[in-house]
Amino acid sequence: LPGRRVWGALSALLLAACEPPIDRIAPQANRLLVHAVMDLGATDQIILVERTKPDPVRGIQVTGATVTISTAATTVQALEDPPRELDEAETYRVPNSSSIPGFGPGQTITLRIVTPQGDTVSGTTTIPNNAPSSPPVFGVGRLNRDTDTLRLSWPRVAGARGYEVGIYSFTTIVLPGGVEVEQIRSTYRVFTDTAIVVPGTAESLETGDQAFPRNVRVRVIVCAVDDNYHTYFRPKVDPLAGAPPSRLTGAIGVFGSVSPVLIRFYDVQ
Amino acid sequence: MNRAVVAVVVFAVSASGQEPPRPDTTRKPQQLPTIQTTAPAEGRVEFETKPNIGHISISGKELTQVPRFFGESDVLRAVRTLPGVNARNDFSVGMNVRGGEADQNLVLLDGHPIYNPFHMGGLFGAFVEPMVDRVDFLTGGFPAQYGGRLSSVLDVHSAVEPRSGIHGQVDMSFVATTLSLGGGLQQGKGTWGVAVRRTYADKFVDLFDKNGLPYHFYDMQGYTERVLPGSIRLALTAYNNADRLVGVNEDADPESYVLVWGNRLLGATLSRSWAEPRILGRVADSLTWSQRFSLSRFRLTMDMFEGILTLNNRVGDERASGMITAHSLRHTHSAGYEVGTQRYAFSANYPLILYPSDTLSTRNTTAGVFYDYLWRPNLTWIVQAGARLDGVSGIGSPVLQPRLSVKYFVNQDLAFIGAYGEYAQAAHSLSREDVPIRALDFWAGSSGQAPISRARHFIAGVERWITPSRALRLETFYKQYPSLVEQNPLSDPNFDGDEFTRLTGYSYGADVMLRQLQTKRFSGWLAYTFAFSSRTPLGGAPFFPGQDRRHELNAVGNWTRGRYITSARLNLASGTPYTKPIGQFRTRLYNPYVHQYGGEDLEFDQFISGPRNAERVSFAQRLDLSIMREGDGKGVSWSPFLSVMNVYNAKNYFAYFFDYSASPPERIRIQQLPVFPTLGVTVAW
Repeated sequence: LPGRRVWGALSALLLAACEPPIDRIAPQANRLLVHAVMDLGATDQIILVERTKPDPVRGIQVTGATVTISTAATTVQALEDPPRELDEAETYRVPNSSSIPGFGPGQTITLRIVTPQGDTVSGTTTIPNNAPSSPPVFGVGRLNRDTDTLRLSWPRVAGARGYEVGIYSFTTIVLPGGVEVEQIRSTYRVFTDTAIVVPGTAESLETGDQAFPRNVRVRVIVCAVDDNYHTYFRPKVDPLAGAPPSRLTGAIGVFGSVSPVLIRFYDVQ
Repeated sequence: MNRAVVAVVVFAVSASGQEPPRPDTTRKPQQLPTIQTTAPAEGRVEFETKPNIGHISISGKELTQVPRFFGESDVLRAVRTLPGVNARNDFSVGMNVRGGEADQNLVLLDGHPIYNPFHMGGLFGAFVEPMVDRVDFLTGGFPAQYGGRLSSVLDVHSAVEPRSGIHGQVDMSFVATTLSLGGGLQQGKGTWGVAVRRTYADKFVDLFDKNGLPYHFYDMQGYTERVLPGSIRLALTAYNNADRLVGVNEDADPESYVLVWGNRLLGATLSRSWAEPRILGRVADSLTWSQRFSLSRFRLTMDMFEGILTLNNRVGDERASGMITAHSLRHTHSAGYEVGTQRYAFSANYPLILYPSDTLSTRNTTAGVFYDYLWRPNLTWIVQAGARLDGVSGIGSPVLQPRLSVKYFVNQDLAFIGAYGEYAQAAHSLSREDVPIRALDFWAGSSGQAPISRARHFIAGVERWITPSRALRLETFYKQYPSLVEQNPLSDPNFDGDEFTRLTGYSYGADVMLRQLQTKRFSGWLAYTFAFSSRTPLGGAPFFPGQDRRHELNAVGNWTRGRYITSARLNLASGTPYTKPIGQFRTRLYNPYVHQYGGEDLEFDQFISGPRNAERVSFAQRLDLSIMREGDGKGVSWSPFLSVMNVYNAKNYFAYFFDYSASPPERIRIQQLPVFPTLGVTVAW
């Protein structure tokens, strides 16, 4: 009968409409993830090596890897830091990088990582051609967050793809035993060209932090960054477009470089 | 309403002779039978007189017989049920026509352009239903008079109220109230009409929580037509709409938020006809001339959280166009021009998936000329040939766009059709087709980095009139896109020229429509569309664009039983493609001040994408119903209605979230609208 057919069709459609909203899916493939930024303003160069899929024993850490950086003049092996928490990446450190021949402004550095499992990662970066700035010894500025606007500009740096401005404030906490440690209280970061204007009332959409919290000292650091750093860190999260392309071979992540071009302190009122 | 004119003519026949007849008082007057003549339906006239390829002319009443959406009749949503049109999901009014991108549709109101005729982020169309008389929808192969878009033309014609006096109607639905008024002028030679619509959810919530929902939208639409001295007709169209979300949050540190967008249009059309004019030594049957002027604006302003998230988009479009057409039995010649300026300005300080963070400003001065020739050599052939030349200042050479359409009648009810056309588009949307929700189009003009988009249409098909009120049309299409652009999701706001990336591509498919024109008891259509689309980025691998829905079926029916009108729409649609994240990892930002990675506020999850659009969302199906009890049509007429959207609460998914941090990882389905019944009433007088 036509009526039965109609009801049968409607019942089939209703059944098709009943589905749970969440599906279990297969775990992702395990990948090597590297964060390596050569920083002319730092004494030690730090390289993080981890896996995207935690291991029950080692967590995400990749221990025992051979990590080297090479300049035109030499190759230096990084030292592995003591073990940390399982959910933290393994840290490899190249100490006193300023003393490494060929490590400096405008130089090209090659990274190579060989893991105990046989994975090999490589990448290169060319450090922006800028002698790094140092924190000011004198001259802490004042900034009224209600009425002032931070305006900064700096000269263009050869080899820089762009510039990253970071505005940080810190709080001091006292650990058991009376040890005082500075912790980041607020973060405001933005990529720009050779100038920036930040209103005193600016806030970070990502962190919700004020750029200039009242009654604290903020540190403003402007770094020239290379193309790898800029390409990897500048885009925001976009699940449809995915992560920005990695310039590393054998891993995802970044091998980039930065050089501070300007550092300022401001007491915010 | 189907504007097929039904005329009842009673002939009185008088006997005639050489001498005046003497009255015969012995004979009774003879009653002659009533003769009813029915004018052919408009679609039938188009079938007989034009190639009519990819052209659907549909009355406003037919479109509003599609079940209501949240109780609102929505012309733009109804158009999505026509053949050749793919609609992405409930949260977008954007249309993809025959595989084209959603920004390739020219939307006109009385021939004047409108850029974003949508409300509530795409949930509702912005045309006020009682003001819509007819919609001409061209899905491809459109003639030379239309330019500026690659895929379709949607020309909405304002309703005309010929009756003298003031007539009107009020529609009250769950969402909004619409008031429309209109009447005849100049003894029926002219007309006027106005309509306003406003949502009232904000006022309702105010009763319980002052400023609890500081959002509303409104439309104002007006049309008037008058005969001026010299038999020149003047038609004026005015349109204004806006969505407004303006308020202040009530946190300890109050912050204001503003999100306002809307369109404004002022259009004027002067026209005149001459009977039997002499042109170049020949007498034509008639000559018509029209001249249009329009000012069209789109403006969006967003300022959330005291300047933290800002977005501005402005479009200013001024244009003048004219056309002159000479008609004769076998030949129709049309020639025209269009000049205008389009100013586009876009700025956003933070990228969201719906739009980029960038600052763009372009000013295009455009000029175009066209010629179109419609030739009916005999009863078997109709040929329409023409060309259009469009140029944009500073953007290379003008683009020549030849157009050709042919119709061959096998018999008076069956014809084969074919068409070729080239098309150009200088306006580009910054919205991404891969994003399943299309809240609005953010417009930018052509520039050196975003060249004019191009398309070629090849169409072949057949049209058969089964009865005078029932027609079947099948059209196949192949579209080439030698030049397209899409928004670059990795564009750098500090770098000029990377806002768009270039693409090429093609689409092919077929659409079929079985249409029952209005009869006493039933009208409706069955529309099926098959489409296959592929795009290739410059130097990249081909992919299926986000609109690549392969199959879509819409069955729309409207039954009248006594005073009850029942409308139903069944939609079946295969899934659209999406890019599946295949992994997730923690990005650890580097802090050059303390020389450390990550930490609080310096880490976030990033996604590893699989091949672009290699997966598809699941099949979708849905039934909508409306039942209206019509008023008696005498005096003030009350027509209550019940409308149920997604009657059996089908769970249709249009997007997925992936969470690889869960153990095991999860895919969360994002559902379209559930079942939603609404009540309303239409009061007409």
